[in-house]
Amino acid sequence: MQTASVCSKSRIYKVFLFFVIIFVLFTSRLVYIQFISSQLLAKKANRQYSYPLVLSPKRGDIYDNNMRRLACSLRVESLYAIPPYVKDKNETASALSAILKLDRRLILERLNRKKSFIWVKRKLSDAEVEKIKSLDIEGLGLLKEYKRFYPNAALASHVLGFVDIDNQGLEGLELFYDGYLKGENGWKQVVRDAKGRELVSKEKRVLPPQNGYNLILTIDEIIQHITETTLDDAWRKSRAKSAMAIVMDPKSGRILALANRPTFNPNFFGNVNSEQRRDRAITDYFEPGSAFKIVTASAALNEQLVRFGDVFFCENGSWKISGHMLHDHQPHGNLTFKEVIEKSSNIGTVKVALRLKEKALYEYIEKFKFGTPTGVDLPGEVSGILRPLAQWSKFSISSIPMGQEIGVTAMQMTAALSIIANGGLYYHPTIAKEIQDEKGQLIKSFEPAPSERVISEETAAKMRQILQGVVDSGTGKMAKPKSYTAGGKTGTAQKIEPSGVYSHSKFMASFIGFAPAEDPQIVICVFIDEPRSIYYGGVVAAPVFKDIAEESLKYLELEKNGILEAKK
Amino acid sequence: MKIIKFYITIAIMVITALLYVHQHIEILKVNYVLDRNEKEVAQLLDQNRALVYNIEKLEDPYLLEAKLKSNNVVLAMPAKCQIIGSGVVKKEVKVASQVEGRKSFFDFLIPKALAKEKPTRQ
Repeated sequence: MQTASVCSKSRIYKVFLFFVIIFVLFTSRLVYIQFISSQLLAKKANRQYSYPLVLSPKRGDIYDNNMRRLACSLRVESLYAIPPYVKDKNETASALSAILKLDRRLILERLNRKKSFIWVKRKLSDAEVEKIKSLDIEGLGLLKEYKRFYPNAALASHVLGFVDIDNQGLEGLELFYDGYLKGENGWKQVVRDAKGRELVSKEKRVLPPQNGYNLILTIDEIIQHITETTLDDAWRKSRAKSAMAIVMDPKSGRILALANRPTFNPNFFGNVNSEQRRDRAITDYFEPGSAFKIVTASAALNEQLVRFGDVFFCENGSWKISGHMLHDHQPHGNLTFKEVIEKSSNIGTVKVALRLKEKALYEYIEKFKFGTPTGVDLPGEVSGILRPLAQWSKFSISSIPMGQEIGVTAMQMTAALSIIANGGLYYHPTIAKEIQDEKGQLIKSFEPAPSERVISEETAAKMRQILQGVVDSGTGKMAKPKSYTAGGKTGTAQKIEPSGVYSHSKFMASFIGFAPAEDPQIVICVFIDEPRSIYYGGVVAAPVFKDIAEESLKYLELEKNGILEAKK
Repeated sequence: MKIIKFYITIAIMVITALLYVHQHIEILKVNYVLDRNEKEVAQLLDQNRALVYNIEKLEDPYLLEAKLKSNNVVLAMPAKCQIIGSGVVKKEVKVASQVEGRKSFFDFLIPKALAKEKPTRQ
């Protein structure tokens, strides 16, 4: 009996010891997890369910001066893959290649990368998203990103420019005002559960994104459309190499329209070549030809070296000066100063310039802001060519007054003519009117201010009278609008061949003008580069001015009378 | 007594712990609802922006002109209105009195539909 009792007690002690050992093991493991490696484990867990997420801002919209939207940003889906989770990579690549129109090998190469996240294709169309969703392949996912859209397609494309895949401005206003438009990233510390659902209440740190500012332009969508369609017609009919047109408010320097041909659709800029994308109105310079005579005439009038009635003998169309022959396109005998400009006599203009002399002419050319960029708020503007006075040759006084030996841009010519149209003041051309935040509060305003007086009001009035004569009875008759008065100047400039001689087949045809003549509301400059067959400015470019002036002034009248309500 | 107090204390602690856990579970549930609602709001806002964009595309002047042209619609500029006085002086118009019918004893019983004489200009 005693032996049995001792045996059972020892078994009890052994079982008890066994459980004590187990208990000690568990307790020590618990102590190890809870105290020794707690920080390391907490960090690991944190990395799995908590991470910082960048919040992308919405890029600011671009509006015309009547708050009609020209550029906006919408959220679209982008396709990503987590390669370790994609089971059959070959089949997946084949399926995606058919939908996304991408090379199958390219997709397969990306899926085979040793990364936890890769982009397959960004910013998909709605149709592509539907097809991807129907595939239901593990390891693929869709993320929303902002994409830039231009609702009016090619309208004002050179002015607006475009952005890259990451919404960085690359050209035009998108580039120039990228700092205001792009906004600032925000971020938040996201906490997710085991199923990947966000736990909003656990978010500790949040910095909301600052959306980009909106840009309001001086461009008027309707005048832009009128300018583009009219220019397009002329460009196609004349089978010209390119064409440009600018419409400006001469009393403020605000640009109402700027059009170039050829053009492009910024929604699909990837397939477009540099010839289409170039904003020729500011990046190309050319010899302006007879259109430049407005500078010579203004200078002579302002210096009181000529009067309307002064008579100049135009040598019956041919004149030898400084060893080379100067020709008029039509022979003239005696012409008054007014007629010299109306009939665009080269000989008469040079004789006017000889009264001015080189130094005064050079000073006025500088005052009219040739040889320097106008400072318009678009990237890539060139200064043109104006050789310093010291580098002028003995032929320069017979070339420059009639628009040769000098390189100008369309923008410079428009700003120069505006001086005459507004009474003698130079205004810097501007395209941006205001910058607002997304709630409509004003951030910055671009108020027009004249930088200096170039010619007197009296001189400007006399020039307007002369230029009205050009349209009424001179070389610019085809520019006369039906319902309004107008003034302007034609230009037919020979272009220079690569060999350095003036071409007999390549011309820059131009018409620069303003309307109405008595109180100009708009300045319109049209340039047609290398028109085929007919190349005179008065025939090719003047009708474009006429159509743009007629329709634009009617539209402005309707708007002024409150018949058209601006969209607010 | 002491044992009863002990049991009551344990019970209160257990209930408090359960309430605490329940509160956290409810917070999590609300989280999921908030998350779902946020995603829904974001999606609706995106849809709204896309629809507004579609409207703006339809208002593209080039597209509108093409539609007008294809439907042979020619728009005219609004004409200015002018009001020109005719020079005719309006005289006072007398309204003719209603024609009275013969009165009879049973007139009140018989409904009448007599035409009223129209007012004439004199």
